[in-house]
Amino acid sequence: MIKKILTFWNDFWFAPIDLLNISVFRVLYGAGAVVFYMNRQLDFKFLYSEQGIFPYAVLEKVFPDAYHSPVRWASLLAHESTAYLLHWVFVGLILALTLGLLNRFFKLVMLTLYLAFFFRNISVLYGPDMISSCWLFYLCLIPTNAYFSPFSRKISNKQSDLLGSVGIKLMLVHFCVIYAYSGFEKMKGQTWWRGDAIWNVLGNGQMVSWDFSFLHHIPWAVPILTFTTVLWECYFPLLLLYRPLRYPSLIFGLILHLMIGILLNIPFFSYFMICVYVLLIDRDDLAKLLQRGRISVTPLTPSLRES
Amino acid sequence: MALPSLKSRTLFLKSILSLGILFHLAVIISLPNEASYFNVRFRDTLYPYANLLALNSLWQFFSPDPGPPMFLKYELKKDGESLATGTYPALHPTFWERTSYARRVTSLRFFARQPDALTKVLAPYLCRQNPTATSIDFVLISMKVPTLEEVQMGHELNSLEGEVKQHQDIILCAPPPEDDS
Repeated sequence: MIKKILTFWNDFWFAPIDLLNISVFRVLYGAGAVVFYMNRQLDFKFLYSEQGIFPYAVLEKVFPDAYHSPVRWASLLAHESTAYLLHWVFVGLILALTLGLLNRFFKLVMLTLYLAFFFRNISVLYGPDMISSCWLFYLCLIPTNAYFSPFSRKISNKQSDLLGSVGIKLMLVHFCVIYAYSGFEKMKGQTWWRGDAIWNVLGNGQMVSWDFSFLHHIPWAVPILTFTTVLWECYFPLLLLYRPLRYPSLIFGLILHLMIGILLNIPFFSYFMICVYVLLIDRDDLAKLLQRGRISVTPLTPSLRES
Repeated sequence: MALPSLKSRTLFLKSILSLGILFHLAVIISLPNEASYFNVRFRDTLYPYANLLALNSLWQFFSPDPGPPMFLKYELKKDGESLATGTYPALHPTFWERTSYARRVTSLRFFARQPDALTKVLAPYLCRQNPTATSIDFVLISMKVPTLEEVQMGHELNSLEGEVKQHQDIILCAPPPEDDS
């Protein structure tokens, strides 16, 4: 029994994984992150300057224990001009990550800068930032340049190493945890139980640009949408485990996220979540999808195909 | 001879990584359930790691219940006379401002949760936008979203009716720095 558990543990966490999916994830997530953080760069004065909403002194005086991080990452950004320059460096590193130019060391530099800006102004962090914290951390563990990178021809081993396998699996587990908790937390709320939470979301003019008052003509749609959201978030991780339902679940999730992204004006949050779906597509299916888009991919290593 | 040593090195690495995996799993699975026994019991061990890497999110998207629309209405004054009025964040952002607008909405919600932040952070920021202002009057407003039944009876969904005043204050803006020359 113990041997079985250990074998399962070993196979689950440490078996080599072909790096095609994570390379595609790198390109997709990275491209979105470049746009997202370029947008933040354009808002630099408001977010991080001394004239902005959160001068450095405020962080020190009003929130001295902001998030209680054992390392004071934000102290890297004590001077505004340095912070401005480092934000450009950060955006540049994200771009380099997207292009497949970063090794683990430079990814750690990128993560350090990410954390510095994260803690520099904690008042403006929302969904996409929280998701980025996770994905950037895992990307530091995983070698991501095996495909779609200037270095990919030189990399003969297209499989993950031990740390890389662990990184990919942890990322998937975390992805499931995010969905499950999003559902569980909603179950605590009266409006989610009652079935009118979606009405309160769609009626929030601060988030939604369209007028959804037409929904009062089809009031039954509101509880259906509400309950579907909660059930899907709670059970999505389980649906992924059952192979025949995996692709239908991913397609449903894709549609739901597109709706959320467009209707609630949070496209980056939806996009960053959808990117991970790439890791759940079978490697061969992904290669076929890419080939349809005239992107050629080297065949799977025989040893991996057998495993 | 080389093979066993490689094997034992791999085994050692896997053992170390396994410990790391277990700890990391404990953090990401336990942490969002803030009040759970394990979270409270092992708080000093789990939180520093999660906070170090900013993996401390509670994943509460629109939960436990979706929050109401919220904004700050303010009036900047100079010696009691009105200089400018406005809202934070703006009431009608354009399509291209949406991402930065989401950050502003988030910041207002963040400040509204902190006892002092509205007076120590947000109001001084608004003062800095108009250096001649000597004081600022502000009121934090949350909007009640009309229910489905109320909309069926003719209420407008995205109107600015149904204001609920939450926190009202007047603070003095810091005087502009004196010119040494």
